[in-house]
Amino acid sequence: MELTVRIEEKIPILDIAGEIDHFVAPKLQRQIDELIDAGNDRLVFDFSNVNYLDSGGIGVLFNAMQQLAPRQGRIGIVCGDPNVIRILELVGLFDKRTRVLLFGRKDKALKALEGKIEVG
Amino acid sequence: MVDEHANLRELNVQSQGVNLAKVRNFVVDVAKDCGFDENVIYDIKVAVGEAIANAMEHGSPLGEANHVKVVCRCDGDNLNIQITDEGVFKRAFPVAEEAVSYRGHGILLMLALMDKVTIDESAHGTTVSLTKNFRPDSQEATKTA
Repeated sequence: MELTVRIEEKIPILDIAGEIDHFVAPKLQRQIDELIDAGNDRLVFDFSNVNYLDSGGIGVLFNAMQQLAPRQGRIGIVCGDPNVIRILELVGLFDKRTRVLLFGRKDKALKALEGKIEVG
Repeated sequence: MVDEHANLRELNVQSQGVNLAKVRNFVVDVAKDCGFDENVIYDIKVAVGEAIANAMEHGSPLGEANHVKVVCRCDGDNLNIQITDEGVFKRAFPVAEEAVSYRGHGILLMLALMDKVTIDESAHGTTVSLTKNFRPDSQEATKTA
């Protein structure tokens, strides 16, 4: 897994490439903790170049969601891989209550998270 | 008549996180040779990934000194993958108590993605057996869904 972070429109974008499994999940978790501790309440995960994600990665996303819930935070996931999307849907990540949204393109994710559009 | 030995493939790895990908790639190769559709291969890859991660984390009391064995059997009807660890302690397979940790969705994914999942615990270790049936009709349905 390769992980880079950059800020666009005041929103951190976690750009990830490769496979997100149990072995690399802690590294991703540390990065998310850092961003949330710094006061960010919105995160965009760019999975455009992610070709595998298992419950290691899913756990990290659910943790982030739980950390952001008290401050009404939101998460946007950019992903086009039907297999990865299928797994995320299977575990209910895009359930209305989770405030996690799926986008096909990064600019759409930023636009939605920038605005005051209520989720759910 | 299928020659079972010709369709038996085995891999032994040390219980190291870096080997997760090695096992996944091995099983993907087996599933490809077995003739599964790409979407189904992905399901198998994720299910095996979960089982092997469990084996390394919960079935390796000596840490990286332990090994995990993967045995794949493919015949005309299905692909069976057995993942055996060296966990010697009687322990419950982690399900409920880790619902909010990294491992919370592992069992759910294995059950959802495979046709049959069994877990056998013995004094020598735990074996997770994952089976995917080979059904060309249902694979076609998946592809067009």
